[in-house]
Amino acid sequence: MTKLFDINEAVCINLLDNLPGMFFRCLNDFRRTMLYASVGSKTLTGYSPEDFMGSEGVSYGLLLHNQDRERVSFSWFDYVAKKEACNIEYRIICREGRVRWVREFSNGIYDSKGNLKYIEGYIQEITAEKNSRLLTNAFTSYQKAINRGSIVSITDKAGYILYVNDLFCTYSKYSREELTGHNHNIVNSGFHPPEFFADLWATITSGEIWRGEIKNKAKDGTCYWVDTVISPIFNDEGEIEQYFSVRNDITDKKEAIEALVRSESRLREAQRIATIGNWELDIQKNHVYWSDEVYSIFEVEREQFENTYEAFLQFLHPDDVELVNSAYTNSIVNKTSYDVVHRIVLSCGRIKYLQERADTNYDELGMPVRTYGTVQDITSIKETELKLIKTNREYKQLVDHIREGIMIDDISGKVVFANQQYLDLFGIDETDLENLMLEDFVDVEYRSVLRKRHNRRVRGEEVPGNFEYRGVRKDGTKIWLEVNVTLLVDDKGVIQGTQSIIRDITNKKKIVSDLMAKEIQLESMVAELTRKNTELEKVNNEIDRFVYSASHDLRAPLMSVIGLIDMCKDVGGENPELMEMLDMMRASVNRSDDAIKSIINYSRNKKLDFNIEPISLQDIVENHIANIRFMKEAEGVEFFVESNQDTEFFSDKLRVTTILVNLVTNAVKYQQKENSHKQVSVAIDVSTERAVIKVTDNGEGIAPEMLEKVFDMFVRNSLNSDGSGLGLYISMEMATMLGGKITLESEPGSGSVFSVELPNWREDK
Amino acid sequence: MSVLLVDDDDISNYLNKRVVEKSGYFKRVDICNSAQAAIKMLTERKEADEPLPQLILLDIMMPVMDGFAFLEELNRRFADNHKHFKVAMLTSSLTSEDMNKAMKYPQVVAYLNKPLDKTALEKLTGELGA
Repeated sequence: MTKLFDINEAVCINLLDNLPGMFFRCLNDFRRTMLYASVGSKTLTGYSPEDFMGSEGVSYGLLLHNQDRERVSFSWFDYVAKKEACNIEYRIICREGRVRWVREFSNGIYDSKGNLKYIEGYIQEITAEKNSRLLTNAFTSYQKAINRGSIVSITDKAGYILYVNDLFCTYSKYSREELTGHNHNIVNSGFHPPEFFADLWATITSGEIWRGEIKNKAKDGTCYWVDTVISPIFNDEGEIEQYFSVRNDITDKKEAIEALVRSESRLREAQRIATIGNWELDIQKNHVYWSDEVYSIFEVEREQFENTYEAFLQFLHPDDVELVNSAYTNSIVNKTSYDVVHRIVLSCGRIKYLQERADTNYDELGMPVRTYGTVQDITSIKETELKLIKTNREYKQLVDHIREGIMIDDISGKVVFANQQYLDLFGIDETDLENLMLEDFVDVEYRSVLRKRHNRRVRGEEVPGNFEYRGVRKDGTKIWLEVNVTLLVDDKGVIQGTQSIIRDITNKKKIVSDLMAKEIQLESMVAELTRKNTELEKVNNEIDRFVYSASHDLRAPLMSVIGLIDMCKDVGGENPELMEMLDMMRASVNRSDDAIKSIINYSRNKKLDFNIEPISLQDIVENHIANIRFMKEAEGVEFFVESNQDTEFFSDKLRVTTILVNLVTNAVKYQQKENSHKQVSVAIDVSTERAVIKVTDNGEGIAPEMLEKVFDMFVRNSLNSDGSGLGLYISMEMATMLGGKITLESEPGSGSVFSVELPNWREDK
Repeated sequence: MSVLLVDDDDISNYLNKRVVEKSGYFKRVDICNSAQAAIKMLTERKEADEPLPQLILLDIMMPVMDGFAFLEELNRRFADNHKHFKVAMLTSSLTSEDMNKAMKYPQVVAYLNKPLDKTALEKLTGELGA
């Protein structure tokens, strides 16, 4: 046997003692009775080599971890039996109780005959190695688990996808190829605001882990919610190189929350529509919870209600406090439902009717804990109810006080209701109503008509509702009746019968027949009048023709006389007496002519149709003034014409002219001779409605007792007057015919104001 | 310038003649005391190719043939007579119907009320450019 190392045993032992781990030589028994152990045993097992020595020493075999003992014990013998080197890992329990993983390399040592002498070997601690391997395994399984259960991705610093797991593909519905190299925002749903992602990036770029819930969008447009953790991955230099994201699907949770929110808002909405609110009373704490709708029923803000039972009682109508209190107390005592209708008084004084229903929870001892209730605003229902009661009462009163008879029959025609007037109408009483049919108390000749109409009506056919027929009173007298029949239909649309409103028209009938007789008389009178009218018209026309030619024949010689008088004055020379007489002749002929003119005007006014045309009142007045200015009477008279006409005035020119000419002529004629400032002014004011013309003079005026008479026929106002006495009469007549009037104010000695008011006969009026 | 006076009333004719002569506008004044006479005279003068009057003073109310009938007859006998004659109605009629009717004839240039006076005649002759 060649010696590799020539070293003595002491050197060798020293060497072994300084190596980590434990060198040993032991017997091949279960105890592994140590013949030698290096100093390293102390560090490895807590026992020094001396502790192991001899059969009284510590048994290395007993240090084996229970879970490894059987396997290791058998392996030891197995190796020996096979004469193989043993390489085995196992746990030992050290002196201080710690568990250490160790690896044992050992060999059997044999004598020259091949018999086992003992076992020699080396035991090394591998706890750290073992743990790190375990950790690696654990990490691998953890990775597997994450990969299987979570959506994982790794992106570069800019968010471009480097890796996605299968689940990522499953959820996003993109293939791995579609995702890799793409920016992660490919799954952005657009649901979150930009600030959301800004916060995310700010967190992870600062090296922190970000966690949050993100709504992502898959390739097909569907969305999924993920609870996401993003962690930065650092390189060896401590710089962020990549981001690692793990997500878990929380779509179901999100949808459940959304559904809850939706259903809650639906509940609120339902409460709002039904005006039902819900409330809870925590009895121990005396705390009242109201839903939004309760606040709006009570019309108070949240801060205005103190959330106590007493605060609730404050709202009650004083008369209902006792009612509510006892109803609630009884429900608690009897453990029954609480159900009460009561009133509340709002701060504005308005009263509401509320229906409350509630149930109370009790604890194991039977003590009330919490009451859950609803409250509904039934004001409108209640008011309708009250109105209905009132209406019913009013209907009864109405039906009894109405002047018409009211009768209701069913589809068979049997009378089921009649008011007092109906009974009075036929002279019957309540007892006659029994088995009364609609055709009773009807004159024979109308019975079948009434019956046929009734039958058709209740079959739903259209039948006139109004007709007249003759009825027979109980005493046999006949009466004329007017009836108005309407169909009675119940709320399901089924015909139940008819309602008849009956009125006694006997008197009306009589009046009508009287009237007809009168009408016949009237007709013959009208015929008579028409005949007379025609005759009169004929006479009138004859008179008109007569007036026309008579006036001509009368005037023609007068005109000749005037011409002759003027000629005489021309040739007569300087005889003042003759001149005076000629003037007098001229004046008296003029008077005669005026009279004729007035008569013609009068007859013409009576005769002529109107000829409505636009008229310039100013032109009429100014033309007339131009005509008379140089007449003797107008000597020294100052004329003023003021016109305010910005719209066209329509009337009969001839009549308007006659009126104005008369008034202006009068104003000139009745001046005071001695007056040195004779004035006539005409003010014209035209609107779309009317024209007002005021003719003012500062002449002799009219005495108060004459004021009413000046418009009469043939009245002459002044001793100085040389007129016909027809001028104002005709003017008034004409103004009246035109729908206008003339009024007069005057004061003797200072003048008169004649006001003519004429309607504007525009076509649009 | 010559004028023809047509009136059935002699006094009227006398008066009108005096006023017309006195005005000094007219060299010749003819008088007819009926419309028929006037037609006859005008016809004869036209046939004899004698000068016709430039102005006719015409009364309306005349027996048998009144002023309007005269104007109709004039239109019938003398085509375009309005180019030869100017007619002034001279009447005591006060109705505007008469005036409106007269103004429809093209030769009627004035409607004067009786008695004829100097002023009215001066105005008329002024308008005729005499």
